[in-house]
Amino acid sequence: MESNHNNVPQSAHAASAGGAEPNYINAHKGIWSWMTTVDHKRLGLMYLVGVLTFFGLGGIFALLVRTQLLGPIFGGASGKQEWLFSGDTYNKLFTLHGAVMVFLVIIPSIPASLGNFFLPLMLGAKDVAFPKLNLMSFYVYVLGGIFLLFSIFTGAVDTGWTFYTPYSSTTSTSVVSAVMGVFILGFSSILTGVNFIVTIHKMRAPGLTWVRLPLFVWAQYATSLIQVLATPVLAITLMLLAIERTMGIGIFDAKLGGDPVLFQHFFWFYSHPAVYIMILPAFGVISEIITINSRKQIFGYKAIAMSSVAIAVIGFLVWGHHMFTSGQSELASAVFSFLTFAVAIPTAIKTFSWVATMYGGSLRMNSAMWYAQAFLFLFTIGGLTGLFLGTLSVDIHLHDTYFVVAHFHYVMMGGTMTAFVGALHHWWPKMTGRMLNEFWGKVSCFFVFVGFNVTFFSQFLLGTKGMPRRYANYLPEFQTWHQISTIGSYLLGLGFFITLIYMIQSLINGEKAPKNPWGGLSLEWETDSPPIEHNFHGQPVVNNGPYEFPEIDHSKSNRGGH
Amino acid sequence: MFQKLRSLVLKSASPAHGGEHGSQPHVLPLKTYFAVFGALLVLTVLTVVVSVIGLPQPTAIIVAMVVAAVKASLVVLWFMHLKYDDRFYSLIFIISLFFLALFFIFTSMDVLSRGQVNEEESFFSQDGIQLRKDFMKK
Amino acid sequence: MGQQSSHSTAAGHNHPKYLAHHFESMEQQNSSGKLGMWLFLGQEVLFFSGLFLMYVLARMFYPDTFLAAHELLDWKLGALNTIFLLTSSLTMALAVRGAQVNSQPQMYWNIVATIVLGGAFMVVKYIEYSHKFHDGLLPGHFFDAAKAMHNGVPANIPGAPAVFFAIYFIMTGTHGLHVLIGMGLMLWLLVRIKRGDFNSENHVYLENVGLYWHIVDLIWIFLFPLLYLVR
Repeated sequence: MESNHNNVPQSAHAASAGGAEPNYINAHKGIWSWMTTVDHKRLGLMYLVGVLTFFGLGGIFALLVRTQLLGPIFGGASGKQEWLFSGDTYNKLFTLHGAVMVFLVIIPSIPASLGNFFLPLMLGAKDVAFPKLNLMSFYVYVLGGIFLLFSIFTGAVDTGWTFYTPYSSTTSTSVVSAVMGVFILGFSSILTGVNFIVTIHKMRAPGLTWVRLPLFVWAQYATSLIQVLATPVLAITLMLLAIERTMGIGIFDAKLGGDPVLFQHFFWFYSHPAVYIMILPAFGVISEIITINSRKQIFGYKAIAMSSVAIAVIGFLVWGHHMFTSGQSELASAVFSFLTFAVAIPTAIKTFSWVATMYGGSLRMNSAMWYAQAFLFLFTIGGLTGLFLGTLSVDIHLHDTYFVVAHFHYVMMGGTMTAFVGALHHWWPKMTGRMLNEFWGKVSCFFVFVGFNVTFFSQFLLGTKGMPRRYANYLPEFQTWHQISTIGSYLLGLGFFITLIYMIQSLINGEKAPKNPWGGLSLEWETDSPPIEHNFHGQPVVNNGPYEFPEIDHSKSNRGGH
Repeated sequence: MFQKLRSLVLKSASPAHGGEHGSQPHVLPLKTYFAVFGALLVLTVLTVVVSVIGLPQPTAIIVAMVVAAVKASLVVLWFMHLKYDDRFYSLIFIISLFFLALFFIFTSMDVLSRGQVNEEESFFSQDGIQLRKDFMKK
Repeated sequence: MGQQSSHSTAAGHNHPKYLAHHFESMEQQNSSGKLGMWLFLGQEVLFFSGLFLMYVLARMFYPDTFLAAHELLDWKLGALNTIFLLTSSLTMALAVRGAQVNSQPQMYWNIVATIVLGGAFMVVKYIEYSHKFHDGLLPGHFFDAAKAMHNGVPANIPGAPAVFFAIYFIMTGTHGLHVLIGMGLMLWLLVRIKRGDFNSENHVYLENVGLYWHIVDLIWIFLFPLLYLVR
């Protein structure tokens, strides 16, 4: 049934020799060949290693934060009872958790690692448009990471990942180093975005029209648009913050004649669209996984593609909803609140389309699909609670409570990271040439899903009861929920740890992966697993859409009775 | 309008595998460059003169910005060849200006409309100005 | 951008000399380079938007300060610099035209002229900066009204003069940094022109540096009236 829809020239020698041809991993040997590679696949893999390392680091910070909140440290008679960490250390821990996870993990996770690897493959191109620029942005990423981590050794940061003034311009911790790190990481993000947009415009295979692009490509396109247009504003904001700190220029500090709310405008003009940099690629991944595993043409291709672009644009109009209680004017708050609801529309279009795609499909529940289902569930909760927070009056009550914490973890962690891990399961065979263990994949997904909900659903309850975020201590009545949440976080950690184990196992002695284990129709499945150095033999030509699966035989299924 | 935009995106920046369109660069006559340069110099003199005369506000700033915008357009259209180049480049440039405008409009909307409920929250209320003056003295 | 044109691969047997291995045609390679540059310019516009917005709001907050403080900037030097940059934009455009008509000397000498004019701009900037340093008209904490008054500069400005000079230094400083980067890129261009890398078919690198240089000019076109000619 996997007829070769697309016209990919097959070299006779590769077909007969059966994979004897060198692939991108063993085509060149030695560490130097990796350090200087301009191959998008190797760079994607290097990004992946970087992202996963930082994910582990950020995860350890998270577990330390949760462990602190396990303990009874209510204000004792002395008022100085401490469990595990002092308040100062706790502040640094959650700041590092946030900064590492946002800037080093989630933003580059899907675009830089999987995007780099699969975008040119899906387009039938030999490489991205600017391979050397690609290598450069990888090194810029590493440099930014070094700066950010360097700040840990020079006193760390305790401002929260948002670096709000005037605290960030006056605290004694090493804000400048951390801010420099984020500034540099921004350039990596911009260069990747420029590279991807040009690649999508200019490097498509013959016949690969815009409406035949896999939806992952569309999602990457929208993401890159935001990366190019929003990230420079973050750069300028952080530059001004560093200057404010060193020279007291009086732009963001009210004491010197500035306006701290201005910093929040500058910061969120980037950082709200950045939320969509994080989630849009996840949408793309889910479109791929669900459609391939439903064996059915995707429902509403154009609607999903266009809603990605719509989200990218509307995402720029809503940043003020982070500032409802900051002293922003009432008019601005009302306008931003209204516009925030508008974002829900394209997002809901996507969710409905995915569900409709599965309806009547012939579902294959592999571990990637398990993760995709977890995504649908968690992201829907995250999205809907976002509406509560976008409502002006409700937000006054919920602002800066654990409700907010739970909301964005449902979106960022339950949404993006779940999709990212799902995507790893989906494309692992293509990237490494090995299959993952399906059984343990489902076990890990179970632990992640249950652990995640236990961790963060309890935080919704904490938030509505008034537990403020970013505190090392709490009132006794919050203890039960905090402890439940902490236990959940351990389950979640265990889930990811299992994933790590069987991924390593797969690399060592995993079953050899076929060319196209899931029967996908987009071009990345038509090259070897792992792909050869120049991706394809000759220039592939595309004759079909990416999701034109053969008709399902409904007579054998009792589901298709409609 | 959507159709027009769509054809712009789909056709102008399509990969070169498809229909090749003239790759030979469009060479402008030297005269054009010098004419644009002359206009830029004249406008520079104009903006200085207007400033020295001292028009009342807000006319002065509006004139200054309009002159600057005209100068910028001259540079973009002729020196940067946007007038003769792929329309998609113009679209990118316009999009970036659009987002710049969004940034300006929404942020200024907040700053200008503060204090509609509590007057002292305004940056421009008498109280606000006085408060800031007191602050600065310290 | 466009650096891929620097290595002509031996792998592509029937490829034109400057075509990188992953492109199919010069047309594809050139238009990719240029599209990348325009996206980068879009990024530049947004980068400077933060600085301009900072200016707009500070001016709304402190109109009197801006009115008084700009008197301490020398508009004649600003105008001179405007002329330097506009002329350099012209020579840059002529250099690109030189490439289009395959004229080696036109490319070379126009780029030399552009570098010289950019250098002249930086010299004037240096003179301005050193006056400000001498008079203590510096950003933020470093603003020293007493020193300025001592030097005979009327620095008794209402509102927040330190904020004005912070904005002046940040905006012109960021712009000056762009000028320096542009001059560095052009020195590299000179080497490549001498090497005979550019011709009417392959000059997207030259064109991209040109686009970058024009956007730097563009920003100055707005900075000049905003900083030097406040009324």
